[in-house]
Amino acid sequence: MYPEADPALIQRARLDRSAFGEIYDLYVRRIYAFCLTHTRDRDEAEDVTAQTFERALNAIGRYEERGVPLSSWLLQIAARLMINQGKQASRITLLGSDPVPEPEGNHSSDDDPQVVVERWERAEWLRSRIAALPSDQRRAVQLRYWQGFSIPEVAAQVGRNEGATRQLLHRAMTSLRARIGNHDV
Amino acid sequence: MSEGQRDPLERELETLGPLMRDQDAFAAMEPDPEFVRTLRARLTGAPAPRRAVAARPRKHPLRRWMMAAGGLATLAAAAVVLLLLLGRSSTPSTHQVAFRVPTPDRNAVLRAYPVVGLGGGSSPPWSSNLDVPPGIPFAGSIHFPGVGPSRGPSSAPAFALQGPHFDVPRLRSLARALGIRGPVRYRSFNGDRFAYVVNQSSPSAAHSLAISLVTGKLIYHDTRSTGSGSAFARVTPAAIAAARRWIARLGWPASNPVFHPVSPNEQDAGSFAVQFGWTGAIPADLPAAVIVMNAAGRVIDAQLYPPVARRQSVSVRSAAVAWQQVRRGRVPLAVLGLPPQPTQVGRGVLRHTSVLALLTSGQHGRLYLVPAYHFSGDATFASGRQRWYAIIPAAR
Repeated sequence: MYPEADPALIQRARLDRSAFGEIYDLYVRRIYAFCLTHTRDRDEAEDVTAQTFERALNAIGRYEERGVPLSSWLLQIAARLMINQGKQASRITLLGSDPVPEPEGNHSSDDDPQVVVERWERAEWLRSRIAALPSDQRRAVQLRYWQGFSIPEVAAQVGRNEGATRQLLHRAMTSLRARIGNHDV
Repeated sequence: MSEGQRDPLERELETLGPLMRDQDAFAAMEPDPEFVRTLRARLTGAPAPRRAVAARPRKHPLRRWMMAAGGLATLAAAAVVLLLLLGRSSTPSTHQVAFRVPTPDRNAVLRAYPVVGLGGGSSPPWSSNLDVPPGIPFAGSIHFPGVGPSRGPSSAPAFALQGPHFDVPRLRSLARALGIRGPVRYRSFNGDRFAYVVNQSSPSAAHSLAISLVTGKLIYHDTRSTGSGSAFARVTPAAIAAARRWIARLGWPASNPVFHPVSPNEQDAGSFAVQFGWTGAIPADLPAAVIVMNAAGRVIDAQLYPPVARRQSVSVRSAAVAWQQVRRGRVPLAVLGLPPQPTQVGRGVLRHTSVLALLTSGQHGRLYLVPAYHFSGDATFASGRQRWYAIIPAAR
């Protein structure tokens, strides 16, 4: 879905800071979007993005792929930074999926950078599949699952009756399953 | 179908749906190109690029609202902050990353000028009745033959406000605390984006809470009824205390002084506004919070900006230089008691020079309080003597 740095570039980046600059160019917007989504604050997102790449620059000599793409490694650095900063600030860190979490929620999985990144990547992947749906199906899915609308609310938004809306969503889910293919759900 | 029998894909979409929605929304927000360039230069050891300084126009819609004429006088009074106050207010942490101090645009300056001919109207959750639109400067001119101020300070404090992270994560719990029950929804409006909750049990009447995802500004409406009773038939310390309790309950700093003494709302004789200043900052052109209450003591409208997060000192031009801009007619003037039109020519005297903070949008809509000189005095016109003032950004 997103380009990954090839192993030769990663190898060069261990010795050459200009090669690290190419890696930075490849990932900076993605890391920033990850940070911004979780912090909802541009200044904080910039701070975490900068710290992520500074740490990556110091640690890239120790990076070994072992099935973990460089993007996941960078995202985990960012997630760890945000989790730690959230703890230090004693406030809710938006590492969940909902922008408005309960004030005293269960943060056990949100405290694990790997879980946070896996959820992020899975959501990105599903999003790309939803984006490929026909527009009416895509809109219905987005209203139903992204916005949390009820069937009557979706029906009102798409201008159909409830029965037709259920059928539309059923077709969308069938189509989505076909696009997901063999990937586990 | 029971929970255990439900389609796994559907369950996963429900779980990850909000995250996908946010990914979609935030993916469109590019990082600041200057930040990207500067960080790259730092990482690769290349020379840092030159820093571009650009003012960003304020994004906020400026809602129509009647400002009482008396409010203008209190605005001017509130602006009188002696230079002695600089650096002595209770201060937020300075041990944080320095921020770029934005330059106030003309609209940010003119919000502190007299406003005429405004109206209210019904308000959706994401639209505030309490935003102050830019005022109209005096169309005439004033000749200032006397001496100007001394050079003044070389620096003044600027303040960055908390961003939307201050209150957006708490939207649902805040709504619940205010008795508003409904799903969180989103709406773009005039270049801003809001998360909001409207009480579903009273769809015909607005009882809502909205927070800007750009600035963190909170907007509250409760028009279910105008209320009755005489808990606060007139402004009393009890009314101020009630307003203070209301904002404290939501988690805002409530120890700050009242910005204006409470002024009655001329739109509705049965309501009044309590306005709070900024905790940890010098007095500003706009209040940090405005709480409108009805005669029964119930909050019916509110607007709260996020609190101050950081403070830093900025270099300012001298007051004498700024005054020359006023003398030469290059700065908008406000004259109280005269309509902006028609033009009149007066002869004025400078009585006071102070520094106040102007609420200003920075990059990406983040809000700041930046220092500005506030010059004021009186002037003689053919129609009589009037008070005047002028505001000019102070940062170099």
